[in-house]
Amino acid sequence: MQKTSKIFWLLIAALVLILAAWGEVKALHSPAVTARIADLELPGHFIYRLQTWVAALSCIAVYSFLFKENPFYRFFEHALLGCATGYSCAVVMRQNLYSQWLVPIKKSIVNVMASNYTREDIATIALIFAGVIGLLWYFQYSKKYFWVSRIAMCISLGAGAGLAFKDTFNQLIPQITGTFKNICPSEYAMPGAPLIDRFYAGCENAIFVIGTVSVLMYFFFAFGNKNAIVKGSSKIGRWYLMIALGAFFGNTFMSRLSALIERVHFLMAEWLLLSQM
Amino acid sequence: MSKRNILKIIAFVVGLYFFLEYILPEKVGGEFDSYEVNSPVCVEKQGKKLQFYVGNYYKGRGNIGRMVKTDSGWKKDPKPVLQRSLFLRFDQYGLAEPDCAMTPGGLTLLYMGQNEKEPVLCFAESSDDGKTFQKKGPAVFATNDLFKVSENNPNGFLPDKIKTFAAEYANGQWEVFLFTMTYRVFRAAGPDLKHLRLEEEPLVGATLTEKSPNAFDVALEGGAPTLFYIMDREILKFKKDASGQWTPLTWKAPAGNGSNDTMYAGGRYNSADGTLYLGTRQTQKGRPIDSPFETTLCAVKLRDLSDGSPLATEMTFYKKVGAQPRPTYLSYGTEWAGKFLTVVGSFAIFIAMINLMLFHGKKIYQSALNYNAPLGEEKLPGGGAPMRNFLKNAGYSAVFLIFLAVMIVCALKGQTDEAEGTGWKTTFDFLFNAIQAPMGSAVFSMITFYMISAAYRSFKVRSLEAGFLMAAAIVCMVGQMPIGELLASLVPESWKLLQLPWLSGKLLSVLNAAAYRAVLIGTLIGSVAISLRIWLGLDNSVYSSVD
Amino acid sequence: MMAEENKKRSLWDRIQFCDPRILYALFAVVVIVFEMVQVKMPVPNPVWVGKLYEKVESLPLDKAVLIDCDYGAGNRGECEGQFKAFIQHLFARNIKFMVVTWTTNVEGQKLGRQVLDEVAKKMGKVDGEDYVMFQAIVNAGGVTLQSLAKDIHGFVVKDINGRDLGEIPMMKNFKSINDVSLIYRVAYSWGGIPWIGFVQSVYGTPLAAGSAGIESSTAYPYLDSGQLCGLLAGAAGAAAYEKRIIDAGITEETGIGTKTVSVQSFATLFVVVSILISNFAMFMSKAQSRRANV
Repeated sequence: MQKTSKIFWLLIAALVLILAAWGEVKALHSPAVTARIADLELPGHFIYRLQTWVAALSCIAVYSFLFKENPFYRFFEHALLGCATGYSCAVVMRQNLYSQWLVPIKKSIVNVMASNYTREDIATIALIFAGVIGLLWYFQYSKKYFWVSRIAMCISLGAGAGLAFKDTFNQLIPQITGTFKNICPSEYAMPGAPLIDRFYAGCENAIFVIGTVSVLMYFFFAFGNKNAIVKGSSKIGRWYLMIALGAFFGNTFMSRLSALIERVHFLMAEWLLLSQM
Repeated sequence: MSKRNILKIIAFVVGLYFFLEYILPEKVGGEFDSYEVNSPVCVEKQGKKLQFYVGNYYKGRGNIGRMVKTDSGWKKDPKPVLQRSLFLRFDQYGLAEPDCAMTPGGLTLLYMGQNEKEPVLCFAESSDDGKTFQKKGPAVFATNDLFKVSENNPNGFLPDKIKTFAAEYANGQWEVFLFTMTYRVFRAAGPDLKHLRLEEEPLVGATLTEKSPNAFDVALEGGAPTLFYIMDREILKFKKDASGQWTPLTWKAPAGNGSNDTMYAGGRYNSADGTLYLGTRQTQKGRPIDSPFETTLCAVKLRDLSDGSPLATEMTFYKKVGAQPRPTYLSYGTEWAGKFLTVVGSFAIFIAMINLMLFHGKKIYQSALNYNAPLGEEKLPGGGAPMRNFLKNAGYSAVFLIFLAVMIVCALKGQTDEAEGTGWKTTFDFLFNAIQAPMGSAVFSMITFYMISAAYRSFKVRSLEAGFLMAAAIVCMVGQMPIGELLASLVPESWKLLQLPWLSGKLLSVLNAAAYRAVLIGTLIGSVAISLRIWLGLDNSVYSSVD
Repeated sequence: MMAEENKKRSLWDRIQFCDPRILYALFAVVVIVFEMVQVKMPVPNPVWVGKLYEKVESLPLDKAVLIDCDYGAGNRGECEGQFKAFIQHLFARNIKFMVVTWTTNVEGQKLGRQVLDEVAKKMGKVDGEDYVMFQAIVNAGGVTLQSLAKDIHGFVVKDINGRDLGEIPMMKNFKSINDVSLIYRVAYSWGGIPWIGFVQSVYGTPLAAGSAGIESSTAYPYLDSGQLCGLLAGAAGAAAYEKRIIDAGITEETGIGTKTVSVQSFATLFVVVSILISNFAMFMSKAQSRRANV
């Protein structure tokens, strides 16, 4: 059985390699490939195909994990980790710390030295203090002065806590006011609409209001469920939650599927050239 | 004082600043027209000159103020006489372009009410010289005797959307001229503003100017309307000639206009004194400056020369914006606080990199020790060839560190304009497009397979609720896909309930939205509670390793 | 022994608990076949896609759009189509836009830039005159958005090419959130950055979202309350928007969203059918064991 399985996988690998080789031959004369190289502004055909091959191999490495963890997968996994970490740090270094912090401070110091400064220049120079606080994060690596790193954390936490009120109330109030819907729309509210349409609209709004209230009741644990109204409405709330969770599952699945299709599209269209780019 | 308490105080003070910055207004004091003044309209009653104008406290929220002409100039009422409504939707966002007329009952002020939908032409009445007004709602127009309105058509069913208007009252009859979005002008007349009969044919059928005027007014001279179009720096007066064509007479802005940096905004013509009362706005390189202090009210006297050609003279600036509010200095620090926190956050990002480097570096170091360690004294498990063990234990760590270093260097050097065409950019693009992007996508998509097998094995309908869950998932999935549209085309329109796209839409926007709203309300209230605990220092989990 | 055990298990049990690799293989075949054979199907037309389209059609030309490009490689299949179709529409209407990116997701900057450069080249638009992409900003929560809203130039400082914002011709007219007519966030999670709490509710600037399917279901309460004015949900949303811009003659190219949903339909159908088969097998297995007990 194991031998059969090995032969099977070898055959698959051989087939893929043949298709890939055929794809390379096609790529040499493919106008779609030429257009793609121009779009990506790559220096040449070889770099593009090398890039495509490495990308394809990295995808296959990831999918090989579905069968078993293997060195091929682990190699690419660590390469991904290195690239992702390095890119984030490089962007923060260049685009935040250098461009948005150091360069304005330098400019402001020059203005102050030339006695041609404004209040904004003083405020910018004061941002040096932000760097000092930022460096406190690295006291995490000291056993004795570990608590100093908490200063930076507390500043961020305090700011987050203070701002949370603004964010919450600005989101919450329209949500609460939006729940008060017209469950009996008149002709003025829906001009020209026949009675049956106004009835359906009223039903829809009523379903919405009942849903919101019953789900809120479901999560209300402050008092017991002995009350018949509370019990009944929590039951209704559960139904609504089931439907919402079902919709969530459906959307989740479609989302993951889109990512898979995008990868398959890349492998089929750009690597093997078996479908349209 | 313990270290924990010091940290709690720091968090509290920082949080207090942001909390107060949210609770307290940005500015306090100041008059209702401290931001902008515009659109004056003058009216005379028994020798007493009154003027109404739009005054804004901040951008876009106009109220109507009142001024009375005295010997020493125009005297302003301290409070506005007409303000936007918070609960009536027609003028929730402010009032604009007022026009005024004397009626037997007193004064009637018409204005464009701003709201989230289209502006609405509304009116208010006063019986005490305009000191107080009662709002009467929208004016109603109709081309027949049925003065019908609706939620989306509060002014009635008009042939075109109203941009601005002009109104006159004479001999017990209202005449309202509507300037529409397509630059046509319609005339309507009626005994009161709730019953205005629109003429079917527009007064002006085609646009008379290339650009929309900043203000529009009409004067009735002998029953025939004269149209005033106030453009950026000129005033156009249109009169119908014998052949029925609208002929313009143009007044250029008078010499007293100051400079090319002043342009006309809104206003009205007062036939009694032949003066155009206008708002003006400062500009910079042709664009209006969007800040306070840059608007004024002025009066431009209009007269015709002996040969009939127009002349605009005596431009008098008589009203600037009101007294400015004082800033609460809390708002001054917001931008600086934002920059401060982003810099502090920037330094934190390197901690992940340092931790990873330490972890993998330690592995390499220990493997290196192992490599040379005598037999039996290895620090890491494994026997056999040292190179194979070294690679097994530290090879991947080396891969990580190599890619990290290469990516940092290439990203730093390869992202500028000067790097275009260099090896740094090519390498950076290669690493990103060949490793980071495709693998990120592949890892995300891998879960699909697990979801399929999990759904196949575990998604079993063992109860009615599970059945509902499955039905909702299937409807949601299929309804949003083209296959759902294809299946829907097979279902007749009368059986809409069975059309999956419709069903899926309703499921998401009604049932799902209702459930999520409740969850959201609970989550938001919970987040306030937690934020309050952290801010007040009641939550000790944050300071667990500090005494 | 395994074979004997398998023999004891009924057909229905074997169907219910089959080797998942069979499912993976069948699923892969379905996806590969329909990827190669692109079947043209009617594209769905969700209501909120239409509202976003009309919103963009009614935007004034003297203000800019602020795009928050925060999608990653993982949701490229959904968000890239949404982003591309949206900027094609903006370019066609000659509406200028600014693109904001975050350090928490630097992939968004790189991927967004690739798409932006490609589309701009095809439509003859110039960086600095028709659009600007800012340098990445550190996401420190609402305080970042507050500072950005008040003073874009002072907070962002430079664009992605390293030029000062003050020197860029387009940016002379756009200094704060008051110069922005619409914020469009394209990301995995539309709510990851608190635009609603700190910008939409404070300044009234309309906010629209293009998000991955997972997070789109959490947007519906906000759409209902008016805090969001439009939504592109997943690849279906991208396909619907692409169809609209194709119908409007802005482009003739089929976008990635349309290509994805065509395959997604059949893959979804496969999953639905397999779940139904599994449930059917469960019921039959239960009926069989009940009959055996009787």
